Amino acid sequence: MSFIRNEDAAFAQRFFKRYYIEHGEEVYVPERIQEREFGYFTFAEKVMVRHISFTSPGELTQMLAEKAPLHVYHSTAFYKYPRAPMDEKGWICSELAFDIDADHLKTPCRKSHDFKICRNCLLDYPVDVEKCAKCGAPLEKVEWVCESCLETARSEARKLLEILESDLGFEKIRLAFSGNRGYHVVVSDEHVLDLGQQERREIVDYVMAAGLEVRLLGLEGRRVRVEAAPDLGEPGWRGRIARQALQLLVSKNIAEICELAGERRPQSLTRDLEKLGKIEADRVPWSALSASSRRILLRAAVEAAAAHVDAVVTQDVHRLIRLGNSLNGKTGLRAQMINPNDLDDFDPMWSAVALPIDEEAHVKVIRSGGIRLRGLEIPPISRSIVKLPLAAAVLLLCRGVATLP
Amino acid sequence: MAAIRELSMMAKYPFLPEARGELAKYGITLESFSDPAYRRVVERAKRRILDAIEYGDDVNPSSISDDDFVELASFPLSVAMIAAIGDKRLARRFALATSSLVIKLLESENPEWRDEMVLRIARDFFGMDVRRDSRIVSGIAYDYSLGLKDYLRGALAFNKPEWKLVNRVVERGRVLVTAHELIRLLKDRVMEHILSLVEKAGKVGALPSPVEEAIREIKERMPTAIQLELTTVKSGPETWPPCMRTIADRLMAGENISHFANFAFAAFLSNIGFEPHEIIRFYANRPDFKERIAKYQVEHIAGLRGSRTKYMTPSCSTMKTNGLCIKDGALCGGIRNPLAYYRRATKKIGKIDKNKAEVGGERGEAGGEVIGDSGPNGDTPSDQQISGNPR
Repeated sequence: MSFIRNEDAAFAQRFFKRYYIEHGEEVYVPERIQEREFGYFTFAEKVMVRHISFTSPGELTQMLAEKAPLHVYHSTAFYKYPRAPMDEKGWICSELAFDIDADHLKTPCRKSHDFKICRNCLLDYPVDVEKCAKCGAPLEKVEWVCESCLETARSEARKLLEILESDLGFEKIRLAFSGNRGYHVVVSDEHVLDLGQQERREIVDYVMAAGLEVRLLGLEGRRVRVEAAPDLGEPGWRGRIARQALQLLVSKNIAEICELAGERRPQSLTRDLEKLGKIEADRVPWSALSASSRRILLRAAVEAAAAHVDAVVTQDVHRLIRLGNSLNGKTGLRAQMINPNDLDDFDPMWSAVALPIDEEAHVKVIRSGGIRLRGLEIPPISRSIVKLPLAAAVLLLCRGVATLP
Repeated sequence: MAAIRELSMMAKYPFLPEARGELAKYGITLESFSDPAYRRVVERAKRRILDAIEYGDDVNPSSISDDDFVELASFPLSVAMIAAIGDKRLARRFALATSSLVIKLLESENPEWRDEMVLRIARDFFGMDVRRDSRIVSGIAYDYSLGLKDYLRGALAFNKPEWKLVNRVVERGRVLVTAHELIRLLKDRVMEHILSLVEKAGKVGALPSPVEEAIREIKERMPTAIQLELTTVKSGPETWPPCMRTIADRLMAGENISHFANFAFAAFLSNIGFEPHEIIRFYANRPDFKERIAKYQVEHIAGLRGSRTKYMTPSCSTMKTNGLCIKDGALCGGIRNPLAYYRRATKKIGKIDKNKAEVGGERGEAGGEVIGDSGPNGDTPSDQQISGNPR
C-alpha cells in the first residue's frame, strides 16, 4: 500500500526533503561506504534506483537532500565495483544481517486490525471482501501496525540479540528499528564477513532453533536420559530450553503452553501439572512429566525461546538493507538506530517520530486504527476529514489510508 | 613437541612440513628413484595409489611399511605420480584415501600424543582456532572448543543432525567438540591439503623408468571414467538449465558438492524422466561413492521408497538461496523453476517424450514442500550423501 494520489506523495516528500536537509547529518553512514552499493525508491515513479555508490558521507547526505527518496538502502556486502551490474560487482565480503518483521510473526492482533480499502471510492471494507461494492474494483489490503505488533517484534529482537551475543559471541552488532513494524540487526565482526550462504544458513537455523533434534536432548521416549537432559546452567540452546521450560511450568499457563506448541489442550498435561505441585526453581522436573507432556513443553519452550527472523535475508549475501536513521516511506517514521542495550527502553512511536508534531495538516481519512505519537493519543478515525499533527498526517498518507482533502 | 620430531611420527604424517624437512636431509630428488636401491619406496608409493583406487575411504593401515624412511619418502613420490597421471578423479580418491589413513592413525595414537598431534595439525598447521576445553555437558566428554567459523567450515560437509550447529553446545562463539569429532573435521582439511599438494606438484618432465613403470601399472588398474548413456531420455545436458549443467559438470569432475545440490540434481533428473540407475551414474565419480547408499537415496527421491513421495525440482528461488543459481537467472529468461527451462528447450528441439518426461510445472518445490500423498512429515531421506533437507 502506498499513497492514494500523486499529490499525497508530493506532499509527504516535501517533509522528507526538509528532514534530510535539516537532519542529514543524523543519517547513519555505514563503514567502508565507498565499497557499498546503495539503492533508493523515488516518490514519483516508485521505481528502485540501484547500483549507485558514494565516495564520501557528504555525497550521501547531498543525494538524500536532493532526491528526498521514499526509501533508501545500502548493501550489507562490500564490492570492488559497487556500481557495476550484479555479476560484475566483485563481491568482497558481507555483513551478517537479520530481519525481524512483525508481518511474519504470529501476532494475534492482526485479524482485528487489518482491513481493505477502495482507492477510487475511498471506502473501507473488512479483509475478506474482494471487490468494492460501489465500483466493483479490486480492493487493497492495509496491514495496520499496532502497539502489540511492535511489542512482539521487540521481543523477537531481544531474543535474537541475546543469542547472537551469549552463544555466537558476536560483538559488533548494529540494531535499528525498521521505521514500520520490525527491527534490523547487522553483525559486522571481522570473522563473519566472508561466511558463505551455507554458513549463514546454519547461523540462521541456530537462532531460529530450526533442526533442533529432540533425540539429542535425551527427552525422547518414555524415560528421560537424565544425564543428557537440558539443565538450567548449561550454555547454548540446552540451557535456554531448560530455563524457558521451567518458566512455562512455573507459570502453569496451560493455554499458553499449548498455543506455543501448536497443540490442542491435552488432559494429560493438565493432570501432569497438577501432580507436580510446587515446582522447585533449581531444575526442570523432566522425569516427572509423561512423554507427551514433555514433548509439548519442549516444543513450547523452543517456540518461545527461538528468534523468528526472515531466513532468506540472512542467507542472501547481496541484500540491501534500509539505511539507519533514514525515513521509511511506508510510515514517514525514522529507521532509528538503537544501542542494543537500550532496546527495552526504546519507544518506536516516540523516538522514531522524525517529522514535526507541532505543525498540523488536514487529511481525509478513510480508516485508521488508534495511533500514539510522542505520547499524543489519536483515536481510531473513520471516513472523515480531520486536522492532525503533521507526523500523523504523513503516516496515514504513506499507509494509503488517507488523502489530501 | 619431541614426539613429532621422531622419524616414526613423521612417517605417519608425511604431509607435515617437518616431514618434508627431514626428507630434504637425505638429498633425494625424483631422479634418485632410478636407483634400484629405492625400489621399495617406489613400490610403496604405487601401493598407496592402488590402495586408494581399490579401497578409497575404507583404506586400512595394514599396508603401511615398517620402514619409516619408506613411508616418509613414498608419500611425496605418490603425490608426484598422481600429478603426472593428471586424472582429477584419481587425485580426489587418492586424497580421500590418504586423509582417511591419517585420521585412522591419529585415532590409534595414545591419548597424550594424540592430543599433541591433533593440536599440532589443527592449530599450527591448518591455523584452526582450537583450544583445549575439557568438560562434560549432557553426559558427553568434550575435549576442545573450536571457533564458530572453523566449526562451520568443517561441519557443513556433514548431514547428520549431531553436526548441525543448533544441536551443538555453543558458548561465546565457540563450539565444543570431542577429540574424535575434531579428528573427523581434520580429515577434510587433510584431504584439501593433499589435493593442493597434487596441484602444486604439477606435471613434471621425464620420470625415472621405475616410476614410469609404476605409473603404467596404475593406469591399467584405473577404472574407466563413467560415460553417460542416456537411454530413457533422449535430450541431453544441452536442454538442461545452467544450474543443473553446472552441477553435472562438477559431479563428473569428481567434486564433492553440497547435499542440497545433490538433492536438487537428482530430483531434476527424476522429474525429467531419468531412471534411478541412470541418475546414480552421475554420482559414481564422487570419491566417496557408495552404490548401495546412492541407490537407496535416489530411489527415495524418485518416490520408489519410503513415503512414495516424488520430489519436485527446487524452485529457482530456492536454488538461488542455496547459491546454485547461475548468473542470477540471466541465461534462463524469467523462469521460476529449472524444469521450465528444460521444457522450453525440449519443445524447441522437438524431442520431448511426453510419457517419460513428467514435468510438473512450477507448482511446488522440493527442499521445502513435497508433492505427494503423505504430507510434509513423510519419510524423507536424510543423513546421507544425496538428500534434500525438507524442513
